[in-house]
Amino acid sequence: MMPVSIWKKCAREAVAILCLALVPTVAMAWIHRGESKSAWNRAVIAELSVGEAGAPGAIVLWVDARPEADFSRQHVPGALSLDEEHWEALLPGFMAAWRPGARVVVYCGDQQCDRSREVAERLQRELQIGPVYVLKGGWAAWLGAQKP
Amino acid sequence: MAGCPKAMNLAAFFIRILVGALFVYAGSLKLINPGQFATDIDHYRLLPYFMIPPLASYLPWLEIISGTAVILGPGRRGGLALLLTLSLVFAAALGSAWARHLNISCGCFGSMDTHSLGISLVRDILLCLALLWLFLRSAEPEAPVSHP
Repeated sequence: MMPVSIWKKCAREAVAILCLALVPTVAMAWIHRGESKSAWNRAVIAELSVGEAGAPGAIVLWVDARPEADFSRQHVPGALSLDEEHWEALLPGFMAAWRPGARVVVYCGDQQCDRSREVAERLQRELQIGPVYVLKGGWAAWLGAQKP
Repeated sequence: MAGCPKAMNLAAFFIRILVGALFVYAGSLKLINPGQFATDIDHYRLLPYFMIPPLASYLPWLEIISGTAVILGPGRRGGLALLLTLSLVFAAALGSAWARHLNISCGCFGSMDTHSLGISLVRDILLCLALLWLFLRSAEPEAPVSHP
């Protein structure tokens, strides 16, 4: 059996390390205080593949961030159009369709496009609706997955 | 410890340096790209969104400082206890992700770590065993824990 004093010393050391690690964490948060919010919002937008996004049991709310013309031509069944240019006009439609627990997945043209990420970030930042995902590979990946 | 205490001491010394350095390395990789680490934590879908950025800033420092304490000496027992706790928490997270068939990367060693969850879990359990052994050794009052 180890004596109690050893455990006490160990606990004291552990608490000291836990506190010590707080110092650089807080210092870094303070140094980056101006930019941190948008940087983190950008960071925590997760990507889902087509298979992951449409996994069985998940209620998915698809959001199409491509230009209006592309959306009218063809889109994921049930998807809503939402882009930054027509944000105010299209957002009420999104709010009406959104339900708590729904998995919001935003897509744009392909892997290179950035519109889906911008829309996902803005949804997450302004509406506080929990995680919003971006579809990896976008519309091109979704189309590819539909082929037999 | 049976047999040859000198050889055991030597082994413990090298394993301690190795394990400490491993955590300093892992922590540094996460520190370079906290956004990536936040995304990796988010992929486990275990924590609410608001907890992820603070945790992603704090954990790397905790790993680095605990690892340094384990290598250099002051606060060694506390450092070992913390790293053991961290590794057990990581093992639980990896195990739960594996059980839920999440197709994600471990995030243990930054974005370069592309091993499967199973391999990461085995690696983590081995690390837990090494840490437990070192901790029990260092907690024995009469065991010489210093250099061989």
